[in-house]
Amino acid sequence: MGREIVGGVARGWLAPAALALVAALGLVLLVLGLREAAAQLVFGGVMLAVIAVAGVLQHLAERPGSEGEAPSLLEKASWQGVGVGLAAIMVLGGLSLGSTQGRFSGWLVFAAYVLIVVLHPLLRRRFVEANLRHCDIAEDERDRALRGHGDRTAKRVLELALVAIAVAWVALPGVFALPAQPVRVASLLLLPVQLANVVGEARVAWLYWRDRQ
Amino acid sequence: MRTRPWQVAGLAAIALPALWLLLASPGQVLGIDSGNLGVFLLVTATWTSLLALSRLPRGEGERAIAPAEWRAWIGAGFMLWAMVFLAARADLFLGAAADRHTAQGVVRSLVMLLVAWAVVSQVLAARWKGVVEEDERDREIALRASTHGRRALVGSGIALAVLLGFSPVDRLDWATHFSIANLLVFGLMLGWLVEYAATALMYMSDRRP
Repeated sequence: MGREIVGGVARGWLAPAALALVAALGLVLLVLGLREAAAQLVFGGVMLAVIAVAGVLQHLAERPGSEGEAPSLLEKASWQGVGVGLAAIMVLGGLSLGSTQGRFSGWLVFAAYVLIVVLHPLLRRRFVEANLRHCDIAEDERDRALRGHGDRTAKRVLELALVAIAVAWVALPGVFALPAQPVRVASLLLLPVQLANVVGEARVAWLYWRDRQ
Repeated sequence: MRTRPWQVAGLAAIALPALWLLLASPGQVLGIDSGNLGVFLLVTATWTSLLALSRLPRGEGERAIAPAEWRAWIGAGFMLWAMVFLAARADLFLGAAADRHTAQGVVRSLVMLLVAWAVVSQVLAARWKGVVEEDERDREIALRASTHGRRALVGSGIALAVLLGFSPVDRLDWATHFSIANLLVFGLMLGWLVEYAATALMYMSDRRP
């Protein structure tokens, strides 16, 4: 009993402390980036701050609803998806902005990307199934409908992002010199996919939260 | 009013040469640019079809098919046509010699196609006025089809990224900014085609006894 209370208190302060650390790190990177006029550092700093804000939002959203209903496993999984997606955006965005001067191994980028895109849904399913209690069902009609709404939003975001990249590419051809840095271009193309995933997961999480209020 | 065989034959006599002119693109026919002539004939065929369609009474078959299924079939048809058209003119979009001026004619034709599509959709929407257009089944099919479309879109984006990321630099001469932008648009069209086709096929399989 005493150990549970101590564990709960530890978890209670650990998450806010970690988020504060991430936000502080982001601020430091942002200041450094602005001082050295390095776009990749500014982007990294902003993304760390966004991750910290998303963490705070998750912390607030996972509190019990107005009728005391706790968030479902799928709602928690959606928040995890947002976090993983934001981290992937930070890496891909940094690469496309030239954080490694385009010399980063293409294989490593794609291996990491495949790990996130392909394995994350499997890990999410595993997380849900592993935490199911007796007589619980993993997914019902409502869950599928909410997931469908998220997928639809993600598709629209991806479409808009791809159009925006296509237009910007033609309008500002000097931004990416393709033959010299194909990894940067590849990272930029993977970025909207991940951005759309994050927006889709965020919408699913928001719909779950709204349902509980 | 019923559709007569000679009317269908007349329509085919306009539409088929239009398709040939747009896809085979022989350059000039009788001193006229084949792209412009093809688009003119295609728009004529579309307007004639619309006129006939707006005068036809709604039959039993039409009542059995949901408005969303009609829209999906028309969308799939137009999108497939646009993709084939774009692929047939790929030499204008890909490669070091490609630029926006040479591709202007193709873009103009695609915009005309888009306008024709919008008009067809509006005419069909007018035919379904006063009818319940969407229920639970429609919403479920739309969501599932959207998921398929998204997967196709993500797949095309990843495929392009892999192509650019792993190709030796000396083999990327074709990959100008203009070419990549057009490939992205082609990927978008693929996503929409998959979504429309999935919607239409799901409705069709749902109607089967």
